[in-house]
Amino acid sequence: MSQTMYLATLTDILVEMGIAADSLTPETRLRADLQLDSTETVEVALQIKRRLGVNIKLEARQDFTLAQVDALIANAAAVPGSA
Amino acid sequence: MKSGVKSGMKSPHLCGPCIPVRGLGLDVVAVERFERWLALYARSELALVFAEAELAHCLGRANPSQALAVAFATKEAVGKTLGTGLADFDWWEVEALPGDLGLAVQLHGRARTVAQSRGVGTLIADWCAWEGYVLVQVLALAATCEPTDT
Repeated sequence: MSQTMYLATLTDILVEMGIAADSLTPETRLRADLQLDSTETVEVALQIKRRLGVNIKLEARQDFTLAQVDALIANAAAVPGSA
Repeated sequence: MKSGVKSGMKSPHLCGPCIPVRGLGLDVVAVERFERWLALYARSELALVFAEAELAHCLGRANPSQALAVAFATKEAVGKTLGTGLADFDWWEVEALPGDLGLAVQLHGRARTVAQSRGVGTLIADWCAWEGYVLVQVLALAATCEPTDT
């Protein structure tokens, strides 16, 4: 699966959570731009697990961009047994 | 309002004028979100966030969504209490077991290591609920009470 496909899935998840699609770019940040709180951030991770079968942790000191989340998914999917 | 007072990893030992507080964390969450999680996610998916024993305890409570809300808020509050947030350990490494009269908190794995590295020996947690929200407060006490010059 390509990284572009992960980004599309991530966009779908966020749109279904009520975020306008036109506000989402690879540079969009989860906290600063989308104002996601902790339960919403976990919900993104739960949906990623459900749709892509990978576990990722979005709680970090840095405020991830969508492109960085895409890369986290790609890295997790590349680990044998994680996807 | 329903509230509970209580327990940490072990009973705090306070000596004289020493108040060995290492940190205080608070968190508020909406119970409705956890009603939705229970409707939407399988137990295996919720294991991304909650420890197995924690899930079993919360799902066995009279109000499972409220219990999960308390457990989730406790994890956040512990992260704030330790000053690290959830960046240094996973959600399930903080295990919260809310009861009618209290809130027991156990740290595991990296959460326990972080607490020890910060000299925390005891967590005292409390919760209350009102109008669809729960509030959790966690107080971290020092593992040892070292006298200081005054």
